[in-house]
Amino acid sequence: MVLLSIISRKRTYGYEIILNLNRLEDSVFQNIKEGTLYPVLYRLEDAGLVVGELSVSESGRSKKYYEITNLGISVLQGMKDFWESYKKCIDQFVKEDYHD
Amino acid sequence: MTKEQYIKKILRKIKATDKIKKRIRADIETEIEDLEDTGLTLDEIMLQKGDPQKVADEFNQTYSDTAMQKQYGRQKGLKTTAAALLSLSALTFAGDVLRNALQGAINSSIGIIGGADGPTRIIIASDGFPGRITAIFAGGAFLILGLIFLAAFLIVKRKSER
Repeated sequence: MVLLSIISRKRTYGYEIILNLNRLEDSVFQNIKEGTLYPVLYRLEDAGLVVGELSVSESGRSKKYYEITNLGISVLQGMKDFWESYKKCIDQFVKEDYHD
Repeated sequence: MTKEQYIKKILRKIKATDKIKKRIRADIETEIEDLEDTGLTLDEIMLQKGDPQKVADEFNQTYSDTAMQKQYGRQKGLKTTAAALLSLSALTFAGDVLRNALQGAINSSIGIIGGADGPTRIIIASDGFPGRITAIFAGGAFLILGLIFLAAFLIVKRKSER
């Protein structure tokens, strides 16, 4: 869901995703390496949620960019909805004023 | 070490099919070029990314026990067996040619002796013949088996690339 969210914002490439994951303070994804990220990207690509293609960047170099597909957008929306309801449910149990 | 050598070293150590390695190569190239665009030298980039073995280990850990890695294991097994059988076949045939050449050299020297003693020459010259048939059969068997394993490897590889 995190990767799909990042890719849904704009067409991006592997290293930029790593930078995005490390950008936030106290990010649980800090220190994530390419050996972990790229295999996940390939799974998303194989599932048709993202598409990776080589194209020429502004600097004139050929780069592999990832872009979200329509299927990816709808799967991401489903994941976000699930995450909201899941979080809401768990929050009810972990709140300090919870009593059974 | 050049960029190409560094990438090749990483890919060589990753236990993955060629299809996956092709994807990894494109991403690593993009990553290195992006870092180069920030003004870093190749040496600084390699230092930042780490030893090729370390980079490969991360991929291998992620892919550990996956269907893809099992497929890679099967491909590697078939490739190694095919290579071993084809080498054995080549060695057997080469050995036979060498043995035949030596036999010819020995026979010609025997021929001089045989010139004085006809029946001896005939007996010694015919002695090497059954060994030659065995070598040809063995070499042929290794060649056929090697080709079967090579075909199996190519079929499995082609299937994985679909």
